[in-house]
Amino acid sequence: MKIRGDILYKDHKSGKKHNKRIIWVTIVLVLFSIITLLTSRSASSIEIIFKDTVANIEYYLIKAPIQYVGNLFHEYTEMKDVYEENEKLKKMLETFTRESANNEILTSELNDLKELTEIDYLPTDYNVKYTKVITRDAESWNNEVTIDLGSHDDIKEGMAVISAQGMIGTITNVNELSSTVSLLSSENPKNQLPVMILSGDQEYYGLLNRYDLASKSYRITLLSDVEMLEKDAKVFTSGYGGVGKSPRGILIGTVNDFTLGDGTTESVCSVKPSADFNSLNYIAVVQRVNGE
Amino acid sequence: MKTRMTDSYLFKCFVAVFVCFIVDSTMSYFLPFNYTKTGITIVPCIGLMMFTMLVKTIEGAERYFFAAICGVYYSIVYSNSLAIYILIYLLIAFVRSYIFKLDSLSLLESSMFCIVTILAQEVVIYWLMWITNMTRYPILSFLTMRVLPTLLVNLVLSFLVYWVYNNMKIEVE
Repeated sequence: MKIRGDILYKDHKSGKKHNKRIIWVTIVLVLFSIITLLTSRSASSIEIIFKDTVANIEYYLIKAPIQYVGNLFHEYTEMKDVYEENEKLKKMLETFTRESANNEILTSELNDLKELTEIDYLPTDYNVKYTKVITRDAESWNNEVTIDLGSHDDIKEGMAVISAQGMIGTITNVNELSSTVSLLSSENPKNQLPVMILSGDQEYYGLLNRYDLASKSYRITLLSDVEMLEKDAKVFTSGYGGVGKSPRGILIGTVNDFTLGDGTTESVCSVKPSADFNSLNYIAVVQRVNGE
Repeated sequence: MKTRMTDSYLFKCFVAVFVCFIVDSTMSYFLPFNYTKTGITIVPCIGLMMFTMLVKTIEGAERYFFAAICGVYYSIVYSNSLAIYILIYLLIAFVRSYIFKLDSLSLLESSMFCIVTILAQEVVIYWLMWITNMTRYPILSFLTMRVLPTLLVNLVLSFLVYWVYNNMKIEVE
């Protein structure tokens, strides 16, 4: 009986210790939460690694197989339209041959000019690496997505990310196997993007500040002296973001409004995005050729 | 469901909630999504609903420990380290323990509690985003394009969560 009593006493004692530990851990977590909220601390590298590890496991074990099966069904239903598409493509192929020959001539001329001027790379030279979105911000407030390319694939912070229609964002965090992309549709972006506006024969420069929800367009502050901007003037990346950042000439959108500044206010324009943010499953990272 | 506390029981509760978080993440991955906030946004909250069900079955200090760990996990993995979730989960544990303290809930009671919890969470996060200048999403659009569809979808999902909870055998002898 005495032995049993001793065991119960020990159990009670260890239970109390266990409870104390749990209470301490909870208090620490509450304090951590309050401090984080008050200081607006961003995620630490350990948190990012943990998040990306879970995201990768979830994607490759659950989301990718579901997506694969879904794509099979999608492809099967699309088979019906193959004949019509093939006819259209045949017609386009004739134009493609002509364009391809023209492209070869232009490339050869460009290379000759590069040799003459001793320029190795142009700001418009870039390669693309295709990738997939593996996770999205579940609460949708941060306008960030995670892609399955990381430092292992030579991805660096500041690189541009594009969809078929144009630029959609920049890389803001890189891990071994995955990276975080901050979308241009963010209302509160971490960085401003240097852009170039082609209005008629003129080139103007500016900074893309943020996405405006009310007008559903980007807000661009102009750095050049501008009197007037054509409606539907095309907006591209300027390539002046620095070494390794976005190259020159990636389409961002078209101008739909322009406000001329006076002495106290700056000239701003709003730009309709070229990219469709509703469909971002397949995207590409742009690697500037001289971006070492 | 038995409420006898052991580490094994707590571990099983964690697993149940984390699995529900994975289901949420998978659902939101395949749901139509709109980053420019011009269309409908639906946020599945199966994990949160399962948490509200399970938290009452855990006793003592472990209840708040469970809430804090679930909040930490959700904030790190799914919400870009937004630490407010730790406080939200602890607050839900408190409300479930001292204000809405029924041991067993009917389908209607559980669905209503889940919907009110999701509504409160959405409003708190929106308010936080607004005061920190993270968003200028108009309140009317927020209510009609995000809150209403989210609540309707989660109302349907709450029936499923209730059924799973009642058929789950995670008690330990």
